Amino acid sequence: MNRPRSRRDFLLDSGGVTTLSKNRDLLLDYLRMLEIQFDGAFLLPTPILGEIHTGDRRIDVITDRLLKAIGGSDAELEPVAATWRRAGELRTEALQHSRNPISTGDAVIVALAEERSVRAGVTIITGDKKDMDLLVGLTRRPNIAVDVL
Amino acid sequence: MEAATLTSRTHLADDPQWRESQRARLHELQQDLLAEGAVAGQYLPELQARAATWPE
Repeated sequence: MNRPRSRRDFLLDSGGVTTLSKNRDLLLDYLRMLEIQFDGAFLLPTPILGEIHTGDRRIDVITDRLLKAIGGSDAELEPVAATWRRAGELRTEALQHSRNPISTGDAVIVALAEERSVRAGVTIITGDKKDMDLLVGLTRRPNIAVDVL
Repeated sequence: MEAATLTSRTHLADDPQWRESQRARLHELQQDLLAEGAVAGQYLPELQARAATWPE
């Protein structure tokens, strides 16, 4: 008898999308893991859409296909004002603990992760562990993981 | 932040039909990648090992 798959949301930042698009084998295995192991969904805040195209057609064509599969064009996944406001709070607090700039996109991802973590575990797929760990720590939510590709 | 104050417009992500629909699209993308020569299994053990450490 198969074990029930645990529900989990996967939030992609721009580094996560780009890394998956550059490596089709990795993208394939990530999709397989999500399918085999989780009742999972990929979520992508719309501000990230402005950061993920590289200008390299070979990579961008995979990105576009991934976006189409995620359903990013649905626009319903756009964060609301409350998420933006929370992102601003997290970014301001993070800047007090970091010597480096904290990107607005990272703060939006973590604000959305905080929101989603009320319903299920969340994994943030990223290329930038340091800033994400700092922001996630500020939420004090125990069920948000950071997966660095 | 209390859970009650966390408002959401991400209601689609809580809709089982939408999740199933995305699941079908992602499965189709897998099939396309395989047909185009992508190699399965190289990263899966490492990904599953990392996933085992994620808090529920």
